[in-house]
Amino acid sequence: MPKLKPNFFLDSISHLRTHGHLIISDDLLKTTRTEDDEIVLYLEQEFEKECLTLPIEAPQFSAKAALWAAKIVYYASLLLLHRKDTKKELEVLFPNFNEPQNVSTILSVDLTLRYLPQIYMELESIDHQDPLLDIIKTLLEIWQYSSIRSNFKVDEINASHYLKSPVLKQLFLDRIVNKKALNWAQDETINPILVQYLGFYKNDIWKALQPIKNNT
Amino acid sequence: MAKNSADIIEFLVRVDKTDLNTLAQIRHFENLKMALSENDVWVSGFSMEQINGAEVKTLPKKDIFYVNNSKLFPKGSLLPTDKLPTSLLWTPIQKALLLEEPQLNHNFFGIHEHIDIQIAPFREEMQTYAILINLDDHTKSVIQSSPDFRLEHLKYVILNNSKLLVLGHPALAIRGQSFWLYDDFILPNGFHFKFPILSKSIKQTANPSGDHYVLWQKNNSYVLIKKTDFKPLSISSFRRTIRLLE
Repeated sequence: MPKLKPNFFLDSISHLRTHGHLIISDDLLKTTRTEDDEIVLYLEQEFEKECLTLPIEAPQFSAKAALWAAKIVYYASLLLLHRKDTKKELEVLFPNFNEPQNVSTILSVDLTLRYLPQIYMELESIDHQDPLLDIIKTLLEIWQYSSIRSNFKVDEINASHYLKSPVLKQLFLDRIVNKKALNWAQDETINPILVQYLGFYKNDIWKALQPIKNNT
Repeated sequence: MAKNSADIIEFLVRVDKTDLNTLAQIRHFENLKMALSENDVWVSGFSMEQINGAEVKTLPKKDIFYVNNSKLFPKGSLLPTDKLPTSLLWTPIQKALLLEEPQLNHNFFGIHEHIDIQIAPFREEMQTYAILINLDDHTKSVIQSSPDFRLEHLKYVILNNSKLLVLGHPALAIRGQSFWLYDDFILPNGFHFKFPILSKSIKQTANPSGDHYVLWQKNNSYVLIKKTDFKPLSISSFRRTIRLLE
């Protein structure tokens, strides 16, 4: 009865997306083809729902990117609990995503990758010398849209990529406002742009945000 | 307390008892107090504005004093002319001067007269509370490209499939007719009821249960809109609604 086989991958990710909890079910660090297919189907539906709320025309869903990110988050969550001799496997488990970042891939990846900063901080509090930390950190530095959180910040904001096209810029700034990520908003490159973006009613929207005064 | 500070100078107005009726024109100052002595009526408690105002200046026969050490100095003079009578009993002026209502006129035949309820231009500036927008392509594209934080405090309803009424402030940056809110009436900006005192009665008639907003238009017609029909404005809610209309 292959149909009744539990799909921990899907369970875990869908529970994470609906309830914000992690369920760590087994320690199997691989997924099967059917599991992958199911999760792509699930994520595509979620993607369509989310696109309804986006202030832009719905982009194309990138199955490849969504699956890649889901696996990263899933494996990282499993490795929170289960560690055997996985040191060598890390690079295989967490490959880089080699396609260009555009609205489609950024949003597809974000479906699950937005939970990665929390897993990162959890891992850090367990062992701050974990080699996995570096790998995740590199990924978050690349996928900055998903890393925006009030208690996590990348070292340097990739303004040339995220603030160039109007669509990405709007998504990026909206995310900072919605997450009330003050640490991002006080960044020197972001702050003037964001203050301008919020406009006349800035204080009604986000009072804590203050424009940085230039000392020069 | 600094006795010479301009704000705390205590002013008194004295009129003859025979001129008591002339005080009617300052009776509406609620802060005033009044006392009677043998031949005079004393009024105290004036603020600087009131003592210099037209109402006091136009009292026909009066003496204005300021009080220092219970001596009375005529206003503008440095020498006292009188002493403040002791044993004055101060009462609030509105209690001391009672209003007499005219007696019921049994022969009044004007009860069939009626007035039209109208709105009239109104000077005071009010906070815009609602805007009525045409639901055209421009409106749609503006809303669908606005970030959440510009929409989440707003509520909207679609009227006649062609107009969008949005409540809340700061309003959307779309050109439309603006309204302000007065006791569940949504009135055009710059207008108020011609007789605002009637607004309670109008509400009783138009919206007795209070679960509607009454959208008043410049041609003096009105529309009742259920309060529960207003939904929070979000891009997804708006997109789904638009899709239903098509």
